[in-house]
Amino acid sequence: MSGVGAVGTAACPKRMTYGPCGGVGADGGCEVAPEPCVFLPRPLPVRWSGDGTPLEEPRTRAGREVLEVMARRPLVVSGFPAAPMSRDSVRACAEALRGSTDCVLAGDSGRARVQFPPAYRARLMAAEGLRVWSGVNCRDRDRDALDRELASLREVGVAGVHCVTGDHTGSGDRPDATPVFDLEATTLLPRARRAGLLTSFAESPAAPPVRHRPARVAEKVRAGGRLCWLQYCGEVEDVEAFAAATAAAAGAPVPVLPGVPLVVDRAGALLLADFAAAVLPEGYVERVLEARDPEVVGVQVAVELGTRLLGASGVAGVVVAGGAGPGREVAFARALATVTRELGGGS
Amino acid sequence: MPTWPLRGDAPVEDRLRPGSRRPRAAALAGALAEGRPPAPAVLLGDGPPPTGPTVVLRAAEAREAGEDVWCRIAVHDRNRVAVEGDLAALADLDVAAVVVDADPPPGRVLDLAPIEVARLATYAGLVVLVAGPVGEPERWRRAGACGLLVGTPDRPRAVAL
Ligand code: SF4
Repeated sequence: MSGVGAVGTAACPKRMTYGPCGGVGADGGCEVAPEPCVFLPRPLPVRWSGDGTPLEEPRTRAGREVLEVMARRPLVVSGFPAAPMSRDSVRACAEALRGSTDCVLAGDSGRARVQFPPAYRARLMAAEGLRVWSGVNCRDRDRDALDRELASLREVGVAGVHCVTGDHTGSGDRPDATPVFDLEATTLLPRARRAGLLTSFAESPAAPPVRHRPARVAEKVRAGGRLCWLQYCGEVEDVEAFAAATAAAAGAPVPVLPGVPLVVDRAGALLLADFAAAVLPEGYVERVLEARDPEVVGVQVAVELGTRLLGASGVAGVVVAGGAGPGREVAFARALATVTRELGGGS
Repeated sequence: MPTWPLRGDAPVEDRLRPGSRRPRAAALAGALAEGRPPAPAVLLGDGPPPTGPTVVLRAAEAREAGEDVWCRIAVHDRNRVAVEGDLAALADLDVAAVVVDADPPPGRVLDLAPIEVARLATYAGLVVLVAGPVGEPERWRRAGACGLLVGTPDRPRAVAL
């Protein structure tokens, strides 16, 4: 596969060098500007131009524990639906999830961009007995502020960090904020590794240019990424094909963790519809929403899909996530716990 | 690096959850209003990159140790989403005050002017102390600032604005 070294890409609204991001529309349109994605006409993938400094093993106990779990069975990760900036909600959701999942992802939300800062949020969660995987985006902080958060996350003892470029501020509930994008996922990964943290990154197999996505994963691995968390990309066979293609591109298997969407109500289905390049298995959401008891059926279809994914070749685990309407955070955390427990999480 | 834009008094859009003052902040505000010396506090800021840690994490540890904390809040390396998250965390921790630099160092991100940070912090229930040259005290008072940071970094003091 041909590729080029990193070049400046001033026209990308997220100032990315190692694009394209996962937000490219099905028609090749940019997720931010009313124009085609600037990376599509270029030779891809953009090669990682780092210096090859040896990357460190995780220095947190929780990070080592996650690797031990992965050595004996697939990893089961859950989202964390707590209301933003609410210590009480963190406590209640943690209580619902404790013991049922291997680790809990505290990520970004388009409906609530303002959250407690990553290390503080992780500290509150860890104090409630959760193994925390912290989402860190490049939209809101420059490299100095990000380095401090990474150092603080290590001090808190998180299991790992999910390094993402992040959605543009143009989407979500804070369009007035300045988009920072001093770094991007690919350049954040080695910094996280140097901070002694286990890393993950996102990839969207269904986003154009589909045939270059596996090679992009390989470049992120070269930059310091360990686990590849997949955006919803269709059927189990699609995930298997992507895992095989990434292994071929990287020259070795890459631990791939596909997402399992948990939908228990219409609000959650609407949230899912907002995700760029998300492709769900045929009839997945309809089956839940048409059910007499969407909550029961939502859990059921998530367990079914998760079980099939965990049995698929090249799959190292799953990330079960989703959302529910305001005020339903704890109920949703309980539903997440049911799914992750059924899938073997926390064992 | 670019420097701070000059901004007027246009109100910031206050979208943080409005907070009422928690005990440590209320005690400091009361002392400043009545001209009493405030309780001694440690002055914390972000650690130097790349090893940090963040001021919020330092504040969490100091509060856990039972200390009164004043936190210098950085605005030149993060946007308003991050600043608002920091303020919410500091309010959650019941830090006694946040210190806003009237003339912050230039940085990569110029999203919020210092006076806007003061308004947001006040809105979140925090007591604001201003550090550095306060050209127009009335503007800062309108933004909710209560006091001026004086003294030395290891012996910080506050006086009413
Ligand atoms: S789709 Fe993403 S990578 Fe492409 S130009 Fe837009 S923001 Fe940049």
